[in-house]
Amino acid sequence: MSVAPLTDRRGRRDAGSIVQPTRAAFWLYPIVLGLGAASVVPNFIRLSSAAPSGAIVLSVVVHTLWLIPALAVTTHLDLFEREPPAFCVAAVLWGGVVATGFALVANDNVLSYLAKLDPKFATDWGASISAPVVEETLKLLGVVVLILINRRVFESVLDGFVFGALVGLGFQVVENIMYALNAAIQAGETWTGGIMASFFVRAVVNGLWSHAAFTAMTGAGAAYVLVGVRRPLAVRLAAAGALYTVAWGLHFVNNSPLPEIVLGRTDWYLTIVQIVLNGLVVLAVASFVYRCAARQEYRWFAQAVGDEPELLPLRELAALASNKTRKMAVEAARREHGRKAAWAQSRLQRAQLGYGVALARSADPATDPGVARWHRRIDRARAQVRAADTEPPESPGAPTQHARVRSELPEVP
Amino acid sequence: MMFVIAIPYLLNRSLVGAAPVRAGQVVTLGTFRYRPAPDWQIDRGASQRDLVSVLVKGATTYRLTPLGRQSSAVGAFKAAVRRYEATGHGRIGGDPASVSTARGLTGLVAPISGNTVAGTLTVLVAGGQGLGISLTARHTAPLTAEIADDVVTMLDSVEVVDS
Repeated sequence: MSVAPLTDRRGRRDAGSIVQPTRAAFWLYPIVLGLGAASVVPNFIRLSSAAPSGAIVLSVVVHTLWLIPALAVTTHLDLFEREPPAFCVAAVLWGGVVATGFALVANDNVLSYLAKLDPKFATDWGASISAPVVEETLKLLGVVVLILINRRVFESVLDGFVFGALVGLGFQVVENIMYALNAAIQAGETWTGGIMASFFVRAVVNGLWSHAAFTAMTGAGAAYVLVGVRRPLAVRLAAAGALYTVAWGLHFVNNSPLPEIVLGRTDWYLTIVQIVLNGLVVLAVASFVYRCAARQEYRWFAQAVGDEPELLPLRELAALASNKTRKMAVEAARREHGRKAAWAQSRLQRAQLGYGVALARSADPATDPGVARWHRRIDRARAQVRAADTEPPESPGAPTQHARVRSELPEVP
Repeated sequence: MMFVIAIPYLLNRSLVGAAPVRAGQVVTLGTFRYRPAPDWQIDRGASQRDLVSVLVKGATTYRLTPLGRQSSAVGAFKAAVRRYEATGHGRIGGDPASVSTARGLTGLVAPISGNTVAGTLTVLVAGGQGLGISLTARHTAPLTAEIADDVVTMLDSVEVVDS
Protein backbone atom coordinates (compact mmCIF):
# COMPACT_ATOMS: atom_id res chain seq x y z
CA MET A 1 0.00 0.00 0.00
CA SER A 2 1.48 3.36 -0.90
CA VAL A 3 0.49 6.83 0.21
CA ALA A 4 1.70 10.39 0.62
CA PRO A 5 4.02 12.04 -1.85
CA LEU A 6 7.37 13.02 -0.39
CA THR A 7 7.27 16.36 1.37
CA ASP A 8 9.97 18.04 3.38
CA ARG A 9 9.73 19.51 6.86
CA ARG A 10 8.20 22.69 5.48
CA GLY A 11 5.56 20.69 3.66
CA ARG A 12 6.99 21.24 0.14
CA ARG A 13 5.83 18.47 -2.14
CA ASP A 14 8.89 18.69 -4.40
CA ALA A 15 11.33 17.40 -1.78
CA GLY A 16 11.59 14.16 -3.79
CA SER A 17 12.40 15.90 -7.08
CA ILE A 18 15.13 14.43 -9.23
CA VAL A 19 15.90 17.84 -10.72
CA GLN A 20 18.76 19.02 -8.51
CA PRO A 21 20.94 21.32 -10.63
CA THR A 22 23.19 22.11 -7.67
CA ARG A 23 24.24 18.46 -7.33
CA ALA A 24 27.10 17.19 -9.52
CA ALA A 25 25.50 13.72 -9.61
CA PHE A 26 22.46 15.22 -11.32
CA TRP A 27 24.68 16.22 -14.28
CA LEU A 28 26.75 13.02 -14.11
CA TYR A 29 23.67 10.83 -14.51
CA PRO A 30 22.74 11.82 -18.12
CA ILE A 31 26.39 11.63 -19.18
CA VAL A 32 26.82 8.03 -18.02
CA LEU A 33 23.34 7.22 -19.34
CA GLY A 34 24.55 8.35 -22.78
CA LEU A 35 27.74 6.32 -22.44
CA GLY A 36 25.75 3.25 -21.44
CA ALA A 37 23.38 3.75 -24.38
CA ALA A 38 26.40 3.99 -26.69
CA SER A 39 27.21 0.42 -25.68
CA VAL A 40 23.73 -1.10 -25.31
CA VAL A 41 22.11 0.29 -28.49
CA PRO A 42 24.76 -0.94 -30.99
CA ASN A 43 24.67 -4.35 -29.27
CA PHE A 44 20.89 -4.46 -29.68
CA ILE A 45 21.15 -3.45 -33.33
CA ARG A 46 23.81 -6.11 -33.98
CA LEU A 47 21.87 -8.86 -32.22
CA SER A 48 18.52 -7.99 -33.78
CA SER A 49 20.14 -7.81 -37.25
CA ALA A 50 21.76 -11.21 -36.76
CA ALA A 51 18.60 -12.82 -35.38
CA PRO A 52 15.64 -13.89 -37.55
CA SER A 53 13.10 -11.15 -38.20
CA GLY A 54 10.51 -11.15 -35.43
CA ALA A 55 12.97 -12.30 -32.75
CA ILE A 56 13.42 -8.82 -31.29
CA VAL A 57 9.64 -8.26 -31.15
CA LEU A 58 8.96 -11.59 -29.44
CA SER A 59 11.82 -11.09 -26.97
CA VAL A 60 10.77 -7.56 -26.03
CA VAL A 61 7.08 -8.49 -25.74
CA VAL A 62 7.55 -11.50 -23.43
CA HIS A 63 10.04 -9.70 -21.21
CA THR A 64 7.88 -6.57 -21.01
CA LEU A 65 4.92 -8.71 -19.99
CA TRP A 66 7.11 -10.12 -17.24
CA LEU A 67 8.45 -6.70 -16.24
CA ILE A 68 5.05 -5.08 -15.59
CA PRO A 69 4.02 -7.30 -12.62
CA ALA A 70 7.63 -7.40 -11.43
CA LEU A 71 7.67 -3.59 -11.26
CA ALA A 72 4.31 -3.58 -9.49
CA VAL A 73 5.59 -6.00 -6.84
CA THR A 74 8.86 -4.11 -6.36
CA THR A 75 7.33 -0.64 -6.03
CA HIS A 76 4.88 -1.98 -3.42
CA LEU A 77 7.68 -3.28 -1.21
CA ASP A 78 7.89 0.08 0.56
CA LEU A 79 5.26 -0.14 3.27
CA PHE A 80 4.57 3.48 4.10
CA GLU A 81 5.14 5.77 1.17
CA ARG A 82 5.26 5.93 -2.59
CA GLU A 83 8.77 6.33 -4.03
CA PRO A 84 9.02 9.32 -6.42
CA PRO A 85 8.21 7.99 -9.93
CA ALA A 86 11.09 9.94 -11.53
CA PHE A 87 13.55 8.17 -9.21
CA CYS A 88 11.97 4.79 -9.97
CA VAL A 89 12.41 5.42 -13.71
CA ALA A 90 15.98 6.64 -13.15
CA ALA A 91 16.77 3.47 -11.17
CA VAL A 92 15.39 1.14 -13.85
CA LEU A 93 17.21 3.10 -16.59
CA TRP A 94 20.48 2.91 -14.68
CA GLY A 95 20.15 -0.85 -14.45
CA GLY A 96 18.99 -1.35 -18.03
CA VAL A 97 21.23 1.13 -19.81
CA VAL A 98 24.17 2.27 -17.67
CA ALA A 99 24.98 -0.90 -15.73
CA THR A 100 24.24 -3.19 -18.70
CA GLY A 101 26.18 -1.01 -21.16
CA PHE A 102 29.28 -0.80 -18.99
CA ALA A 103 29.02 -4.46 -17.96
CA LEU A 104 28.96 -5.57 -21.61
CA VAL A 105 32.35 -3.94 -22.19
CA ALA A 106 33.90 -4.99 -18.88
CA ASN A 107 32.64 -8.60 -18.96
CA ASP A 108 33.81 -9.06 -22.57
CA ASN A 109 37.28 -7.89 -21.64
CA VAL A 110 37.50 -10.05 -18.50
CA LEU A 111 36.26 -13.15 -20.34
CA SER A 112 38.62 -12.50 -23.24
CA TYR A 113 41.52 -12.01 -20.80
CA LEU A 114 40.72 -15.25 -18.96
CA ALA A 115 40.33 -17.13 -22.27
CA LYS A 116 43.78 -15.97 -23.31
CA LEU A 117 45.17 -17.35 -20.04
CA ASP A 118 43.26 -20.66 -20.14
CA PRO A 119 40.27 -21.24 -22.46
CA LYS A 120 38.83 -24.14 -20.44
CA PHE A 121 39.05 -22.25 -17.15
CA ALA A 122 37.44 -19.23 -18.82
CA THR A 123 34.53 -21.34 -20.09
CA ASP A 124 33.95 -22.97 -16.69
CA TRP A 125 34.63 -20.11 -14.29
CA GLY A 126 34.74 -16.93 -16.41
CA ALA A 127 31.13 -15.89 -15.78
CA SER A 128 31.38 -16.50 -12.03
CA ILE A 129 34.59 -14.45 -11.74
CA SER A 130 33.62 -11.56 -13.98
CA ALA A 131 29.88 -10.99 -13.53
CA PRO A 132 29.60 -10.69 -9.69
CA VAL A 133 32.39 -8.12 -9.38
CA VAL A 134 31.54 -6.08 -12.48
CA GLU A 135 27.76 -6.21 -12.33
CA GLU A 136 27.20 -5.88 -8.58
CA THR A 137 29.56 -2.89 -8.49
CA LEU A 138 27.92 -1.14 -11.45
CA LYS A 139 24.41 -1.72 -10.14
CA LEU A 140 25.33 -0.55 -6.62
CA LEU A 141 26.77 2.63 -8.13
CA GLY A 142 23.29 3.33 -9.49
CA VAL A 143 21.88 3.49 -5.94
CA VAL A 144 24.85 5.60 -4.82
CA VAL A 145 24.32 8.08 -7.68
CA LEU A 146 20.60 8.36 -6.84
CA ILE A 147 21.54 9.06 -3.20
CA LEU A 148 23.97 11.73 -4.36
CA ILE A 149 21.31 13.34 -6.55
CA ASN A 150 18.80 13.70 -3.70
CA ARG A 151 19.52 12.05 -0.38
CA ARG A 152 16.15 13.12 1.05
CA VAL A 153 14.51 10.39 -1.03
CA PHE A 154 16.47 7.81 0.98
CA GLU A 155 14.91 8.02 4.44
CA SER A 156 15.18 4.38 5.40
CA VAL A 157 17.00 1.16 4.60
CA LEU A 158 13.82 0.02 2.84
CA ASP A 159 14.23 2.86 0.30
CA GLY A 160 17.68 1.50 -0.59
CA PHE A 161 16.22 -2.00 -0.86
CA VAL A 162 13.46 -0.85 -3.24
CA PHE A 163 15.70 1.31 -5.46
CA GLY A 164 18.32 -1.45 -5.53
CA ALA A 165 15.67 -3.93 -6.63
CA LEU A 166 14.54 -1.51 -9.37
CA VAL A 167 18.12 -1.10 -10.65
CA GLY A 168 18.50 -4.89 -10.66
CA LEU A 169 15.19 -5.30 -12.43
CA GLY A 170 16.23 -2.94 -15.24
CA PHE A 171 19.53 -4.76 -15.60
CA GLN A 172 17.86 -8.16 -15.55
CA VAL A 173 15.30 -7.35 -18.24
CA VAL A 174 17.76 -5.83 -20.73
CA GLU A 175 20.27 -8.64 -20.14
CA ASN A 176 17.52 -11.25 -20.54
CA ILE A 177 16.40 -9.74 -23.87
CA MET A 178 19.99 -9.96 -25.10
CA TYR A 179 20.25 -13.58 -23.93
CA ALA A 180 16.97 -14.33 -25.70
CA LEU A 181 18.26 -12.81 -28.96
CA ASN A 182 21.48 -14.82 -28.65
CA ALA A 183 19.40 -17.94 -28.07
CA ALA A 184 17.38 -17.15 -31.20
CA ILE A 185 20.56 -16.74 -33.25
CA GLN A 186 22.03 -20.00 -32.01
CA ALA A 187 18.81 -21.99 -32.37
CA GLY A 188 18.55 -21.48 -36.14
CA GLU A 189 15.14 -22.42 -37.54
CA THR A 190 13.73 -23.17 -34.07
CA TRP A 191 14.40 -19.61 -32.88
CA THR A 192 11.00 -19.13 -31.23
CA GLY A 193 11.72 -22.16 -29.07
CA GLY A 194 15.15 -20.71 -28.26
CA ILE A 195 13.62 -17.42 -27.10
CA MET A 196 10.93 -19.10 -25.02
CA ALA A 197 13.42 -21.51 -23.41
CA SER A 198 15.71 -18.59 -22.55
CA PHE A 199 12.74 -16.62 -21.16
CA PHE A 200 11.57 -19.59 -19.10
CA VAL A 201 14.96 -20.26 -17.52
CA ARG A 202 16.14 -16.68 -17.01
CA ALA A 203 12.89 -14.80 -16.30
CA VAL A 204 10.36 -17.33 -15.00
CA VAL A 205 12.53 -19.79 -13.07
CA ASN A 206 15.23 -17.32 -11.99
CA GLY A 207 12.58 -14.65 -11.48
CA LEU A 208 13.03 -11.75 -9.12
CA TRP A 209 15.49 -13.70 -7.01
CA SER A 210 18.53 -12.96 -9.15
CA HIS A 211 19.70 -9.44 -10.12
CA ALA A 212 16.79 -7.66 -8.45
CA ALA A 213 17.44 -9.50 -5.17
CA PHE A 214 21.23 -9.06 -5.32
CA THR A 215 21.02 -5.30 -5.85
CA ALA A 216 18.21 -4.95 -3.30
CA MET A 217 20.69 -6.27 -0.71
CA THR A 218 23.56 -4.01 -1.77
CA GLY A 219 21.16 -1.04 -2.08
CA ALA A 220 19.90 -1.68 1.46
CA GLY A 221 23.53 -1.60 2.62
CA ALA A 222 24.17 1.74 0.89
CA ALA A 223 21.02 3.23 2.43
CA TYR A 224 22.03 1.91 5.86
CA VAL A 225 25.33 3.83 5.65
CA LEU A 226 23.27 6.94 4.99
CA VAL A 227 20.40 6.59 7.47
CA GLY A 228 21.71 4.41 10.29
CA VAL A 229 23.28 7.41 11.98
CA ARG A 230 22.83 6.01 15.49
CA ARG A 231 25.61 3.53 14.75
CA PRO A 232 29.26 4.50 14.16
CA LEU A 233 30.25 4.93 10.52
CA ALA A 234 32.62 1.94 10.72
CA VAL A 235 29.74 -0.34 11.79
CA ARG A 236 27.52 0.94 8.98
CA LEU A 237 30.27 0.50 6.41
CA ALA A 238 30.93 -3.01 7.73
CA ALA A 239 27.22 -3.87 7.39
CA ALA A 240 27.13 -2.50 3.84
CA GLY A 241 30.31 -4.43 3.02
CA ALA A 242 28.79 -7.59 4.45
CA LEU A 243 25.65 -7.19 2.32
CA TYR A 244 27.76 -6.56 -0.79
CA THR A 245 29.82 -9.67 0.00
CA VAL A 246 26.67 -11.77 0.45
CA ALA A 247 25.25 -10.52 -2.88
CA TRP A 248 28.60 -11.10 -4.57
CA GLY A 249 28.85 -14.60 -3.07
CA LEU A 250 25.33 -15.59 -4.12
CA HIS A 251 25.94 -14.24 -7.63
CA PHE A 252 29.25 -16.13 -7.77
CA VAL A 253 27.62 -19.45 -6.80
CA ASN A 254 24.75 -18.76 -9.21
CA ASN A 255 27.16 -18.45 -12.15
CA SER A 256 29.70 -21.06 -11.09
CA PRO A 257 29.93 -24.75 -11.98
CA LEU A 258 30.06 -25.68 -8.26
CA PRO A 259 26.78 -27.67 -8.26
CA GLU A 260 28.03 -29.53 -11.33
CA ILE A 261 31.24 -30.41 -9.50
CA VAL A 262 29.38 -31.40 -6.29
CA LEU A 263 26.64 -33.45 -8.00
CA GLY A 264 28.82 -34.81 -10.78
CA ARG A 265 26.04 -34.38 -13.36
CA THR A 266 25.54 -32.06 -16.30
CA ASP A 267 21.97 -32.82 -17.41
CA TRP A 268 18.60 -31.14 -16.83
CA TYR A 269 18.46 -32.52 -13.29
CA LEU A 270 21.51 -30.42 -12.45
CA THR A 271 20.02 -27.31 -14.03
CA ILE A 272 16.81 -27.67 -12.04
CA VAL A 273 18.64 -28.35 -8.77
CA GLN A 274 20.93 -25.38 -9.41
CA ILE A 275 18.07 -23.02 -10.20
CA VAL A 276 15.85 -24.14 -7.31
CA LEU A 277 18.64 -24.18 -4.71
CA ASN A 278 20.09 -20.86 -5.84
CA GLY A 279 16.62 -19.33 -6.05
CA LEU A 280 15.57 -20.48 -2.59
CA VAL A 281 18.79 -19.37 -0.92
CA VAL A 282 18.78 -15.95 -2.61
CA LEU A 283 15.10 -15.50 -1.84
CA ALA A 284 15.63 -16.45 1.82
CA VAL A 285 18.53 -14.02 2.26
CA ALA A 286 16.73 -11.18 0.43
CA SER A 287 13.57 -11.82 2.48
CA PHE A 288 15.59 -11.63 5.69
CA VAL A 289 17.13 -8.29 4.68
CA TYR A 290 13.69 -7.01 3.64
CA ARG A 291 12.09 -8.04 6.95
CA CYS A 292 14.84 -6.28 8.93
CA ALA A 293 14.41 -3.13 6.81
CA ALA A 294 10.60 -3.28 7.03
CA ARG A 295 10.72 -3.71 10.83
CA GLN A 296 12.94 -0.64 11.09
CA GLU A 297 10.53 1.34 8.91
CA TYR A 298 7.56 0.19 11.00
CA ARG A 299 9.31 1.27 14.22
CA TRP A 300 9.87 4.70 12.67
CA PHE A 301 6.18 4.90 11.78
CA ALA A 302 4.98 3.60 15.16
CA GLN A 303 7.12 6.15 17.00
CA ALA A 304 5.60 8.94 14.91
CA VAL A 305 1.99 7.99 15.67
CA GLY A 306 2.50 6.40 19.08
CA ASP A 307 0.86 9.29 20.95
CA GLU A 308 -2.35 9.26 18.91
CA PRO A 309 -4.46 6.39 20.32
CA GLU A 310 -7.75 7.97 19.25
CA LEU A 311 -6.60 8.19 15.62
CA LEU A 312 -4.56 5.00 15.60
CA PRO A 313 -5.56 2.52 18.33
CA LEU A 314 -2.92 -0.08 19.15
CA ARG A 315 -4.78 -2.88 17.35
CA GLU A 316 -5.02 -0.83 14.13
CA LEU A 317 -1.39 0.24 14.44
CA ALA A 318 -0.34 -3.41 14.68
CA ALA A 319 -2.41 -4.19 11.60
CA LEU A 320 -0.37 -1.66 9.58
CA ALA A 321 2.92 -3.52 10.19
CA SER A 322 3.03 -5.26 6.81
CA ASN A 323 1.06 -5.73 3.61
CA LYS A 324 0.01 -9.12 4.93
CA THR A 325 -1.39 -7.84 8.25
CA ARG A 326 -3.20 -5.04 6.40
CA LYS A 327 -4.86 -7.53 4.08
CA MET A 328 -5.79 -9.68 7.07
CA ALA A 329 -7.52 -6.73 8.76
CA VAL A 330 -9.42 -5.87 5.57
CA GLU A 331 -10.37 -9.50 5.11
CA ALA A 332 -11.64 -9.69 8.71
CA ALA A 333 -13.83 -6.62 8.08
CA ARG A 334 -15.17 -8.27 4.92
CA ARG A 335 -16.02 -11.47 6.79
CA GLU A 336 -17.73 -9.67 9.66
CA HIS A 337 -19.55 -6.83 7.92
CA GLY A 338 -19.27 -7.31 4.15
CA ARG A 339 -17.62 -5.66 1.19
CA LYS A 340 -18.48 -2.08 2.15
CA ALA A 341 -16.80 -2.54 5.53
CA ALA A 342 -13.70 -3.99 3.85
CA TRP A 343 -13.51 -1.02 1.49
CA ALA A 344 -13.94 1.42 4.41
CA GLN A 345 -11.27 -0.41 6.40
CA SER A 346 -8.84 -0.20 3.48
CA ARG A 347 -9.55 3.51 3.14
CA LEU A 348 -8.99 4.02 6.87
CA GLN A 349 -5.63 2.26 6.62
CA ARG A 350 -4.54 4.51 3.75
CA ALA A 351 -5.52 7.60 5.71
CA GLN A 352 -3.69 6.37 8.83
CA LEU A 353 -0.55 5.65 6.80
CA GLY A 354 -0.67 9.08 5.18
CA TYR A 355 -1.21 10.70 8.55
CA GLY A 356 1.74 8.87 10.11
CA VAL A 357 4.12 9.79 7.29
CA ALA A 358 2.97 13.44 7.30
CA LEU A 359 3.31 13.56 11.09
CA ALA A 360 6.82 12.13 11.04
CA ARG A 361 7.97 14.65 8.47
CA SER A 362 6.28 17.71 9.92
CA ALA A 363 8.27 20.25 11.93
CA ASP A 364 5.11 21.63 13.56
CA PRO A 365 2.29 19.04 13.39
CA ALA A 366 -0.13 21.26 15.31
CA THR A 367 -0.26 23.85 12.50
CA ASP A 368 0.77 21.73 9.51
CA PRO A 369 -2.06 21.76 6.92
CA GLY A 370 -0.82 18.43 5.47
CA VAL A 371 -1.19 16.71 8.85
CA ALA A 372 -4.61 18.28 9.35
CA ARG A 373 -5.75 17.06 5.91
CA TRP A 374 -4.83 13.44 6.75
CA HIS A 375 -6.48 13.86 10.16
CA ARG A 376 -9.77 14.79 8.44
CA ARG A 377 -9.42 11.81 6.08
CA ILE A 378 -9.07 9.48 9.06
CA ASP A 379 -12.21 10.95 10.61
CA ARG A 380 -14.18 10.49 7.39
CA ALA A 381 -12.87 6.96 6.85
CA ARG A 382 -13.66 5.98 10.45
CA ALA A 383 -17.21 7.29 10.08
CA GLN A 384 -17.54 5.07 7.00
CA VAL A 385 -16.18 2.09 8.94
CA ARG A 386 -18.71 2.68 11.73
CA ALA A 387 -21.55 3.05 9.23
CA ALA A 388 -20.52 -0.16 7.48
CA ASP A 389 -20.23 -1.98 10.81
CA THR A 390 -23.87 -1.23 11.67
CA GLU A 391 -25.13 -2.87 8.46
CA PRO A 392 -26.04 -6.57 8.72
CA PRO A 393 -23.27 -8.92 7.50
CA GLU A 394 -23.58 -10.46 4.05
CA SER A 395 -23.85 -14.23 4.19
CA PRO A 396 -22.28 -16.11 1.27
CA GLY A 397 -25.66 -17.60 0.24
CA ALA A 398 -27.64 -14.36 0.55
CA PRO A 399 -29.17 -13.06 -2.69
CA THR A 400 -27.46 -10.10 -4.30
CA GLN A 401 -29.21 -6.75 -4.67
CA HIS A 402 -29.86 -7.59 -8.33
CA ALA A 403 -31.35 -10.98 -7.44
CA ARG A 404 -33.58 -9.39 -4.81
CA VAL A 405 -35.01 -6.91 -7.34
CA ARG A 406 -35.61 -9.71 -9.83
CA SER A 407 -37.46 -11.78 -7.24
CA GLU A 408 -39.84 -8.89 -6.59
CA LEU A 409 -40.77 -8.57 -10.28
CA PRO A 410 -44.06 -10.22 -11.36
CA GLU A 411 -43.85 -13.51 -13.26
CA VAL A 412 -44.16 -13.11 -17.02
CA PRO A 413 -46.58 -15.74 -18.47
CA MET B 1 33.10 3.50 -12.42
CA MET B 2 35.78 4.03 -15.01
CA PHE B 3 37.98 1.57 -13.10
CA VAL B 4 35.41 -1.17 -13.67
CA ILE B 5 35.91 -0.63 -17.42
CA ALA B 6 39.56 0.40 -17.51
CA ILE B 7 41.06 -2.44 -15.46
CA PRO B 8 39.53 -5.31 -17.51
CA TYR B 9 40.36 -3.44 -20.73
CA LEU B 10 44.01 -2.95 -19.78
CA LEU B 11 44.32 -6.53 -18.55
CA ASN B 12 42.90 -7.83 -21.83
CA ARG B 13 45.17 -5.61 -23.87
CA SER B 14 48.20 -6.77 -21.91
CA LEU B 15 47.96 -10.31 -23.32
CA VAL B 16 48.26 -11.53 -26.87
CA GLY B 17 45.50 -14.07 -27.39
CA ALA B 18 46.98 -16.06 -30.26
CA ALA B 19 48.08 -19.60 -29.44
CA PRO B 20 49.65 -21.95 -32.02
CA VAL B 21 47.57 -24.89 -33.25
CA ARG B 22 48.84 -28.09 -31.63
CA ALA B 23 49.67 -31.06 -33.81
CA GLY B 24 46.56 -33.20 -34.36
CA GLN B 25 44.30 -30.71 -32.57
CA VAL B 26 40.58 -31.12 -33.20
CA VAL B 27 38.06 -28.33 -32.45
CA THR B 28 34.45 -29.24 -31.69
CA LEU B 29 31.63 -26.77 -32.44
CA GLY B 30 28.25 -28.15 -31.46
CA THR B 31 27.63 -31.15 -33.71
CA PHE B 32 30.60 -30.35 -35.99
CA ARG B 33 34.33 -30.75 -35.60
CA TYR B 34 37.31 -29.84 -37.75
CA ARG B 35 41.09 -29.92 -37.76
CA PRO B 36 42.79 -26.50 -37.77
CA ALA B 37 45.74 -26.29 -40.13
CA PRO B 38 49.20 -26.28 -38.43
CA ASP B 39 50.93 -22.84 -38.95
CA TRP B 40 47.68 -21.02 -37.98
CA GLN B 41 47.05 -19.42 -34.59
CA ILE B 42 43.94 -19.88 -32.47
CA ASP B 43 42.53 -16.54 -31.33
CA ARG B 44 41.75 -17.54 -27.73
CA GLY B 45 40.23 -14.18 -26.84
CA ALA B 46 37.62 -14.40 -29.62
CA SER B 47 36.99 -18.17 -29.53
CA GLN B 48 34.38 -19.74 -27.25
CA ARG B 49 33.97 -23.45 -26.69
CA ASP B 50 31.13 -24.87 -28.81
CA LEU B 51 30.07 -21.38 -30.00
CA VAL B 52 32.80 -19.93 -32.19
CA SER B 53 36.28 -20.88 -33.33
CA VAL B 54 38.57 -18.18 -34.69
CA LEU B 55 41.90 -18.85 -36.41
CA VAL B 56 44.31 -16.20 -37.66
CA LYS B 57 47.29 -16.25 -39.97
CA GLY B 58 48.87 -12.88 -40.72
CA ALA B 59 46.04 -10.62 -41.87
CA THR B 60 43.68 -13.52 -42.62
CA THR B 61 40.90 -14.61 -40.25
CA TYR B 62 39.03 -17.91 -40.44
CA ARG B 63 35.88 -18.06 -38.29
CA LEU B 64 33.55 -21.01 -37.79
CA THR B 65 30.16 -20.67 -36.10
CA PRO B 66 27.41 -23.26 -35.65
CA LEU B 67 24.12 -21.99 -37.11
CA GLY B 68 21.76 -24.16 -35.08
CA ARG B 69 18.95 -26.20 -36.59
CA GLN B 70 18.94 -25.78 -40.38
CA SER B 71 17.03 -28.05 -42.74
CA SER B 72 18.26 -26.49 -45.99
CA ALA B 73 21.45 -24.90 -47.31
CA VAL B 74 19.49 -21.84 -48.48
CA GLY B 75 18.06 -21.23 -45.00
CA ALA B 76 21.47 -21.75 -43.42
CA PHE B 77 23.02 -19.35 -45.92
CA LYS B 78 20.46 -16.64 -45.11
CA ALA B 79 21.17 -17.08 -41.37
CA ALA B 80 24.93 -16.88 -41.97
CA VAL B 81 24.53 -13.74 -44.11
CA ARG B 82 22.45 -12.06 -41.38
CA ARG B 83 25.05 -12.92 -38.78
CA TYR B 84 28.02 -11.78 -40.84
CA GLU B 85 26.47 -8.55 -42.06
CA ALA B 86 25.38 -7.68 -38.51
CA THR B 87 29.07 -7.35 -37.59
CA GLY B 88 29.31 -4.41 -40.01
CA HIS B 89 32.61 -5.63 -41.48
CA GLY B 90 31.33 -6.32 -44.99
CA ARG B 91 28.51 -7.52 -47.19
CA ILE B 92 27.83 -10.74 -49.05
CA GLY B 93 27.61 -10.14 -52.79
CA GLY B 94 26.37 -12.20 -55.72
CA ASP B 95 24.46 -15.47 -55.91
CA PRO B 96 25.84 -18.29 -53.80
CA ALA B 97 27.47 -21.25 -55.58
CA SER B 98 27.28 -24.89 -54.48
CA VAL B 99 30.16 -26.37 -52.56
CA SER B 100 30.93 -29.90 -51.35
CA THR B 101 33.69 -31.24 -49.14
CA ALA B 102 35.83 -34.37 -49.35
CA ARG B 103 33.71 -35.92 -46.58
CA GLY B 104 30.51 -35.39 -48.56
CA LEU B 105 29.13 -32.35 -46.75
CA THR B 106 27.35 -29.91 -49.06
CA GLY B 107 26.49 -26.23 -48.85
CA LEU B 108 26.80 -22.83 -50.46
CA VAL B 109 29.58 -20.28 -50.86
CA ALA B 110 29.51 -16.56 -51.77
CA PRO B 111 32.04 -13.71 -51.80
CA ILE B 112 32.40 -11.17 -48.98
CA SER B 113 33.27 -7.60 -49.84
CA GLY B 114 33.94 -4.76 -47.45
CA ASN B 115 35.82 -1.50 -47.15
CA THR B 116 38.80 -3.12 -45.52
CA VAL B 117 38.33 -6.86 -46.04
CA ALA B 118 37.49 -9.38 -48.76
CA GLY B 119 36.85 -13.10 -48.58
CA THR B 120 34.21 -15.82 -48.74
CA LEU B 121 31.27 -17.01 -46.68
CA THR B 122 30.59 -20.74 -46.74
CA VAL B 123 27.78 -22.70 -45.13
CA LEU B 124 27.62 -26.45 -44.69
CA VAL B 125 24.52 -28.38 -43.67
CA ALA B 126 24.53 -31.88 -42.25
CA GLY B 127 22.31 -33.80 -39.85
CA GLY B 128 19.80 -30.93 -39.69
CA GLN B 129 22.47 -28.54 -38.37
CA GLY B 130 24.28 -25.70 -40.10
CA LEU B 131 27.86 -24.42 -39.88
CA GLY B 132 28.92 -20.98 -41.09
CA ILE B 133 32.54 -20.36 -42.11
CA SER B 134 33.89 -16.94 -42.99
CA LEU B 135 37.33 -16.39 -44.47
CA THR B 136 38.40 -12.76 -44.58
CA ALA B 137 41.66 -11.03 -45.37
CA ARG B 138 42.54 -7.38 -45.28
CA HIS B 139 42.86 -5.72 -48.69
CA THR B 140 46.49 -4.98 -47.89
CA ALA B 141 47.27 -8.71 -47.57
CA PRO B 142 45.52 -10.71 -50.29
CA LEU B 143 45.04 -14.47 -49.96
CA THR B 144 48.10 -16.49 -50.91
CA ALA B 145 48.10 -19.93 -52.51
CA GLU B 146 49.38 -21.40 -49.25
CA ILE B 147 46.48 -19.94 -47.27
CA ALA B 148 44.01 -21.14 -49.93
CA ASP B 149 45.41 -24.69 -49.63
CA ASP B 150 45.10 -24.56 -45.83
CA VAL B 151 41.50 -23.36 -46.11
CA VAL B 152 40.55 -26.20 -48.51
CA THR B 153 42.19 -28.71 -46.15
CA MET B 154 40.33 -27.31 -43.13
CA LEU B 155 37.02 -27.27 -45.02
CA ASP B 156 37.54 -30.89 -46.06
CA SER B 157 38.24 -31.84 -42.44
CA VAL B 158 34.78 -30.70 -41.24
CA GLU B 159 32.66 -33.63 -40.12
CA VAL B 160 29.58 -34.32 -38.03
CA VAL B 161 30.46 -35.54 -34.55
CA ASP B 162 27.93 -38.38 -34.46
CA SER B 163 28.91 -39.85 -37.83
